[in-house]
Amino acid sequence: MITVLRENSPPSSIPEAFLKLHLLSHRLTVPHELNLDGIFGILKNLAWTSQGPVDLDDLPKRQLQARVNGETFEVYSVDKFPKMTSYVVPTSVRIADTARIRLGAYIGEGTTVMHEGFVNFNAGTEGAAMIEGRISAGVMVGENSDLGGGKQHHGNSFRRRHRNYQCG
Amino acid sequence: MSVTDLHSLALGIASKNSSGEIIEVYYPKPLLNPSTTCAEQMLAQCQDISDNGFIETSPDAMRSLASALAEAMKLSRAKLRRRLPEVQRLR
Repeated sequence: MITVLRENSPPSSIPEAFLKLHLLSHRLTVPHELNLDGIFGILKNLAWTSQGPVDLDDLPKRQLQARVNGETFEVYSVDKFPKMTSYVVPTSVRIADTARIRLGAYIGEGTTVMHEGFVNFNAGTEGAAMIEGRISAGVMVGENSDLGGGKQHHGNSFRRRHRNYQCG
Repeated sequence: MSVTDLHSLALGIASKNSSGEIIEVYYPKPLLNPSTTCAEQMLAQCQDISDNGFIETSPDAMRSLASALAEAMKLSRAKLRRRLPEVQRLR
């Protein structure tokens, strides 16, 4: 398929929404630059499985089919957003548990996300950072920040930024 | 704004449900603010998209578009290389 965005208006289809999430995770644009209004209403809640994304209505049939065929069929998550690394692995990052980063996250070069670290879509790190806590949607953590385990930053203000943040 | 001024574009592979609806798309190499050359090649394939949108194409059409794009980008790079001595003289 070919997807074209002539302007940065709210996504009106699944292909448009996925393109915007890809642009963020490919680091082609930074959080807050894209209009993602209404993206939750556009994306479908899906089963993300070892055989790819599956519509929840199709899931029982697919599970049965896999059993009959003697195939492994693992459901990794049931969510509107897939994990980022199934689509994009940005350069120069370490990610201890790939399930903790959603597609649409912006992981800056030199960032390490440890096992308990979490990064939502439209959020991320500007450069090298150590992430052991949670970065919620809308939050951008500055370069050389260290977000310690058990700490979180959530985006009640969607324009919050933290520079050189140290929090342990 | 010119018709070839695009915010972004991408070739992708979609997954569908049993009703034939698109549920997810993978774009291996999305482009932000694509060059005029790229935009022209792409828009030639999807004239039906007047605003933001998408079209579904066959794998064959995708392959020919991908090679047309590669060719167009090669030409565009060659044109730039030819202009390089000119630019260097001006500096």
